[in-house]
Amino acid sequence: MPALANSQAKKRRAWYQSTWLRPFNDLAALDGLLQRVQPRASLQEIRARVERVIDETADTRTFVLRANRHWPGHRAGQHVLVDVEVDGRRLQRCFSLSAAPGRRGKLQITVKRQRADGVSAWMNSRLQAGDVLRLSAPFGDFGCDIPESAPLLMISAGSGITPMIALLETLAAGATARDIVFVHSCRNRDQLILAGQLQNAVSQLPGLRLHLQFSDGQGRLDAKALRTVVPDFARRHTLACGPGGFNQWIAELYGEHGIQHQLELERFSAAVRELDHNDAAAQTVTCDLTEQSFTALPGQSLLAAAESAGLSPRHGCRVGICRSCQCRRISGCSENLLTGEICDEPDQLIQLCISSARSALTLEIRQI
Amino acid sequence: MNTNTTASPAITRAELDRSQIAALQDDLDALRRDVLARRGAQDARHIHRAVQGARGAAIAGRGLLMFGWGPISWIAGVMSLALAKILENMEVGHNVMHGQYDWMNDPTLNSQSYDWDIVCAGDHWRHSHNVEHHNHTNILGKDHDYGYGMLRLTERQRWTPAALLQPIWYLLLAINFQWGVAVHDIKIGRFVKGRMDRAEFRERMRPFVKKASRQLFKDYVLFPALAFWQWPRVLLGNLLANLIRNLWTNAIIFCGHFTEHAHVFSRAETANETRGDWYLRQIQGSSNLEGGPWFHLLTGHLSHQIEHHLFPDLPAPRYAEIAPQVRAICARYGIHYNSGGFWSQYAGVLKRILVHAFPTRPRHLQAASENS
Repeated sequence: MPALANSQAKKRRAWYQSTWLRPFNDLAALDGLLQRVQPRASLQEIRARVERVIDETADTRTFVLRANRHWPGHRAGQHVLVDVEVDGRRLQRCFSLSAAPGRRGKLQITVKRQRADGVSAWMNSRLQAGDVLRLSAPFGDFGCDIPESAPLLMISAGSGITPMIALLETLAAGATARDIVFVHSCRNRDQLILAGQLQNAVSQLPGLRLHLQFSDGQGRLDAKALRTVVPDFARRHTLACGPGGFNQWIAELYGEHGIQHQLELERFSAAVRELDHNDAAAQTVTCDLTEQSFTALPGQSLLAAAESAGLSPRHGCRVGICRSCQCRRISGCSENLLTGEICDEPDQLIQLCISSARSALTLEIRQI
Repeated sequence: MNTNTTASPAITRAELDRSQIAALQDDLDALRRDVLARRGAQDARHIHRAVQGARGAAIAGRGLLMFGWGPISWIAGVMSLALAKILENMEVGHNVMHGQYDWMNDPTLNSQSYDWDIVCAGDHWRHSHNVEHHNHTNILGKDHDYGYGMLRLTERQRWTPAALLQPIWYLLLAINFQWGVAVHDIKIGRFVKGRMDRAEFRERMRPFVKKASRQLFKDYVLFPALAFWQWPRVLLGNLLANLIRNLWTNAIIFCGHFTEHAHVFSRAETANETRGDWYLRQIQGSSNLEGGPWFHLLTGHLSHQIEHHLFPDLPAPRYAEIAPQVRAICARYGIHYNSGGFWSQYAGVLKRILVHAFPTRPRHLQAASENS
């Protein structure tokens, strides 16, 4: 994976990696030969074959994958960068693993088609059983250290259910009678994804109480609704995953009660922090290397601003995880949209996809 | 003596006024946008196949040389290895290093990290070729590819008695072309003349020495040694394959800018260029070769030198596709589209090398002396 390889580029080479031995140790070339025989094989990359495609809803599909021996295995709650070739261009997106760790490199991801995202659209319409994808190693620590015996509350909305299913399956495999409440919200019953896996997990977890909130009939899940459904939420260790607005009210609710330490939040959509637009103005951003410049609106991510100006910065997940879009900010002041941190120290590395301009900026943007 | 080797650029430039130059620029920009909009899976498939083809030919060629017996397998091995080197250098290496496939986001096809099967270090090439040659195409004194600092190809270059020997220099350059390309960006001439200090020279030599020693080790130590008693076969085969690649790439590259009707420019003429002027210079300074799809592939699509110089970062097979449109645009503005068969264009190059070995004079001076 290019994004992950960058950080290791300076490592000292072992003797068998010496350039004197080219072409015998040219891994890319050897992989090319291997993959003519077995498309999933590789000497260095994690590659996975699509075993099965399951239609969840009209716009969501689950892909059951089998990875090669480089896959180190994952823990429930983690996510993975998927590298696909869309119209000849390699693009990366991040997805939660939607099943508990399987045997022999079996894993699955569930992908909802997002508007204005070529990758999820391509995966939904073009990716078939038998195709091969590149993967990163699994990463993230969501739900990885749940306290041993504490009662749990798991809350998700929409496709935020994906890591929850993996976590529930893992809990079910541990044959626990633990006190768990799982609250999930989606539009209606047809929009409920991974229903089969959910049902299985529910039947194996005697201590689990499930509440499904269908917003079409029962209204949106919000702080008030949660208080009614789970009156004792404050004593529970909580895992939450959903779109930006959903995460925000949960964070605020737990903040009000002073129990932030009990809350683990997993974000999967790009930053939606509410900014104080009154004092903000559009800023000019200059690329140091190419001397191009573009205008960034207040609160808009620099990646989106650059792209709408016709530039193509190198990028990956678009949600602040993979660091493919990381670049040096030579001067100016930027805001991290995830944390709200504002920084104007020169020569800092920032991630374009989760940063916005608070003043005119000069950046060292690497383009594709 | 025929001095009709360079049309006067002042005359042809004067034919287009500023508004026409601006219109030319718009037309060519539109053509570029059109190709960019279509760029996609087809181009990715092409470069992947070219990479695989070059690898396959290399494995076949080296295999035949190492494990084959008899002259037929030797010749087949040499041809196959030469084909591999030509494909890798021309269609893959040169084009990838121009950034034609950077948009694919594939780290193995990235212009800044790719290194090719030739003694020239990638970084040297990226500077001398992409930065200097492609920007300053055919500007005397700025484009160091013009005559490679050793050949006099126009009457506008100063004649010295050493030029009399240039047919021999040219032959030696053609045979050792990869070495000529490799030392090009070191600018040894500057060091010899005392215009570069020893420390800078050593710094410039380092990537070359590193790359060249690895290439020599691979072709003349590692592979022969792996063939045990067959080592002479492998060593000679590798030498011949490198020679074939050298002669071929030299011929193709010389046909790109040194044909009979390719223009040269002075610094003064190009001082205040717009992009339209730049486009015009690229067209007038370059020349195309005609042939079939295989011929184009083996030249790395440098047979479409004009299109390549207009748009160096478009995927190369697109040059053949847009060539008719470029030709039509040239016809619309009355610009000469320099194109011909390989032999006639190469004959023009050789003629230029021979003619300008002797003291030729700029045409207006000659005309004046004829009148008197």
